[in-house]
Amino acid sequence: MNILFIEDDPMNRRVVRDMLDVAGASMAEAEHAEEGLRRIGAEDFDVVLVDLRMPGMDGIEAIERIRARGDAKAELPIIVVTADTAVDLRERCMTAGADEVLFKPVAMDALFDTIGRVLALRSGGDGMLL
Amino acid sequence: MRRLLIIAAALTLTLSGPAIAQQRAADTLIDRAKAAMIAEPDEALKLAGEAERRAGTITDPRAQATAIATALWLQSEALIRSRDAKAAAPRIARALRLISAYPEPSKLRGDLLLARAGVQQAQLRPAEALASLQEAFSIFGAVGEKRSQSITLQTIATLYTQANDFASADKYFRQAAEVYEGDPRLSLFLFNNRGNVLLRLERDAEASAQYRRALALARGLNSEPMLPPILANLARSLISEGKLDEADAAIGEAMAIVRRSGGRGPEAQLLAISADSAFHRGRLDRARSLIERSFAGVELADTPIAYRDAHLTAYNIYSKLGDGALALPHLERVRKLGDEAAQLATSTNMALMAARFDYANQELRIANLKAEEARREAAFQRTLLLGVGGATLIIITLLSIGLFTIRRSRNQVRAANTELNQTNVALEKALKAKTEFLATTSHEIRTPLNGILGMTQIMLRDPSVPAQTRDRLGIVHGAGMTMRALVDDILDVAKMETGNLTVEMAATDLHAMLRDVTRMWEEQARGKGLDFKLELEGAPLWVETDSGRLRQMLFNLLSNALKFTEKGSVAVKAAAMDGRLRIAVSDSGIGIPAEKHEEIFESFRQVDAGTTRKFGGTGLGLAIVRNLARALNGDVAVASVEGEGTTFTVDLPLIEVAAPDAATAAGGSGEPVVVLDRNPIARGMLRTLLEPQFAAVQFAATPDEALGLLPAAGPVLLLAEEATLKAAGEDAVAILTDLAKAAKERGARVAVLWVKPDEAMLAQLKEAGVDTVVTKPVAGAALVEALVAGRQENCAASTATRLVSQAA
Repeated sequence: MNILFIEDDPMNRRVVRDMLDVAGASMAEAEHAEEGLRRIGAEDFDVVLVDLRMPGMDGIEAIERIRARGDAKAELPIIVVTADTAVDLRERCMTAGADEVLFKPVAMDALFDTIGRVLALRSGGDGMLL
Repeated sequence: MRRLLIIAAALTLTLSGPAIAQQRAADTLIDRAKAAMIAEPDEALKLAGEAERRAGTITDPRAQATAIATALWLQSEALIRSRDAKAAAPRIARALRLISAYPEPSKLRGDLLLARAGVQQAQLRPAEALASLQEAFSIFGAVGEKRSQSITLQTIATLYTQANDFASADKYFRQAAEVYEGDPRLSLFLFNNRGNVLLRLERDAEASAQYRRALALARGLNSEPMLPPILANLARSLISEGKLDEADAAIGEAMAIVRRSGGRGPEAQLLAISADSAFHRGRLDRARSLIERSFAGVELADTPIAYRDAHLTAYNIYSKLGDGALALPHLERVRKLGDEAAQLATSTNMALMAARFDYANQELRIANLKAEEARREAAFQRTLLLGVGGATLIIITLLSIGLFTIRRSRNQVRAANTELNQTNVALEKALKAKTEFLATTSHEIRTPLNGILGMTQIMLRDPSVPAQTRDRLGIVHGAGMTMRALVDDILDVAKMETGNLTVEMAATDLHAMLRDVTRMWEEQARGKGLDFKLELEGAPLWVETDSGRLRQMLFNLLSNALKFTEKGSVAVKAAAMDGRLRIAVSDSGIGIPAEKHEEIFESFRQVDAGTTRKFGGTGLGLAIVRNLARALNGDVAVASVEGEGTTFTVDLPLIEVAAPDAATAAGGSGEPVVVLDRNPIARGMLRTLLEPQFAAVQFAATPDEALGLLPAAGPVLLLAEEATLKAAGEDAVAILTDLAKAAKERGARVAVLWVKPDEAMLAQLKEAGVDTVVTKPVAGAALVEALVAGRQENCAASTATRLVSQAA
């Protein structure tokens, strides 16, 4: 399984990479949203994880851009990973097109479970899964 | 056509006759309730209840809504006076909902907001009270109710007094005076209360001036009982000013009135003030004898708040005399009462609340004013008619002064309003800035915490980490989790303060939720050697509530119960009682002394004062529980015996609901599944796919774990994944054979997920005892289909087997 994490903080990238390693998934990194969008265009990923607060384009806009793609990649499962806790944050992310929102500090089991659930729901049971 | 109209008119007449009678009956009851409010709130409550019932029969929807809302308002006013703010809250909410269909501002809406502020103030939710008062103020402004505006401003002032912000309190008292001066009784409270605030600001001369104005009004009203407290206040400020002779005169006058009417309490207060005056004169012996008389026969340990100043005087006198043993208990009491000082403001608030219903006096005063105005006008016209030369000049001068005065007072009112709006905006800005600051701080703390907790989780999952290191990592992880809880709590408190706490009601499986939330604490309790019980008898299954918030409350209560219990037990008990849902968390821990039963819920104040440390932990848990319970229209109560244990009971409205369709459909049908898959992401997928089709889905990472999860007997599906079996040992097929054998003995069906098995492999799997082979990679829907199909085949097979065995 190949997962892309768009996140400006190198420590957070490292933490999630090591977590995903426990589950046998490999992680590609993007330091900012623009790079993330470029990599999504050029490579194939199963899931995209994205932070919200980043220099330049923020996470919400990145999600909207992915969803606005004309191809199959517009349907990529997207999970927001954020340290923000605003009251309406979850709703804002979901409106932009996110599948799920995880709050930092991230519990490892919640990360795995969410990735699995989002993958299962996104494919509607028809995509290649296991 | 015309005949029809006539008939219609006649019908309307016959219908409106009784309707008007109902309206009148309700109105009469409402008036009687108002009249009874100050002296007999219980009677007022009864009358308002009757008015509500009568109002229900009014036919015009708007008149009905208004009448019911008015009756509800009066009920809540009566309840607030009987100190039952909790019962008042839902009535106010209902009344506001009733009149929300008619959105234009009305005095009733303002009155309801004022009452709501009273409830919020009584429940120590000042920010919400302030918001209600601000809304009430603008509504009263829109409908031209200056008297009510003044009461609102005075209430805001008392709120600031309670918060020890005397400068702001003074400002609002001043504005209250500028807005309306037509009711001497109201002005009397205002001057007296403003004097109190000025005294706290050490503006003694101004305080004395305010008390003198209050005194003049009290004398004008011929109300003798009002004089002593004002005289006592005046004497205090005069002593501060150093005008001891005048102070003694004031005390003397007050003392004479008190002695005429009797009453030991006020006399004791006056003796103490007199002692203070003697103390300031340096006449210590006289001061001592006066203060001894003041406290004669009084139990020092439980004096009411009114004795605070008397204790301070006693302490000053005794310590000056060098008598430490006598001085100390007074100092202790001063400290203690200082904590209760906020209640003082509540009593001034009672006076304000009385003013809301002081109609008789108000109307009399208005009548007097009108008569006076008419006289003045007549005199003015006479003067004008007689006016010549110089006289005209004088009149013009007088007139312009008059106009100037009118304009000035109008401008003052306008300025007061503008200023209030400005401070409101400033207040909102300040609250917003605080919220933003907390949000940013929280974000900045969460980021490093993500590093700490993330890495410790990863290392704790690594089986090669030695035991001692694992133990130490566990401590780092636990500390990180505590820090995380702290940040969450602080954010929640901020949300509660700004009214941003959201509640989302939904149908909830109460039993499942309680089992889930207690699971983690049960483990901890057993780890500590404590018994843990969850009692669900008498608890409804499906209720409408905010399950997330309910979890949060229980989490806080259970965390406390475990923290403070060293031996014995912790129990959670849920039950429906008298239309309420009660969830009790009990422990056999150290208990809480009775005098702290209220204090423990008030860490809000602790937080504001920055003294959280005193309580240890976050010190916010119980305040959060109380706020959440109230947000759900309930409350939390404590019962405790020191050394024996504590029970916290969350009391919520019981809203029983039918089980949602999805819930009865989900999981109800199929058999339980045990999945052997070590990959946590795959588990997440499988859980999502299987849960709608099977009864319960449990996961195992090793074959042994899977065996442990299989029940002794029964229809169970065991689903094993290839890589997990291969990781368990060199010969995956042998392991699978053993596992399948053990599973079959318990009556389980066996399925495997295998990567593209060839013919030989398929044969081996069948040989090992596998019923269903699902080829990897597989689409989710196809996997579920294969497993469900296998279930049906199996059913058919078992029926066949049974038939065979019967035949044999």
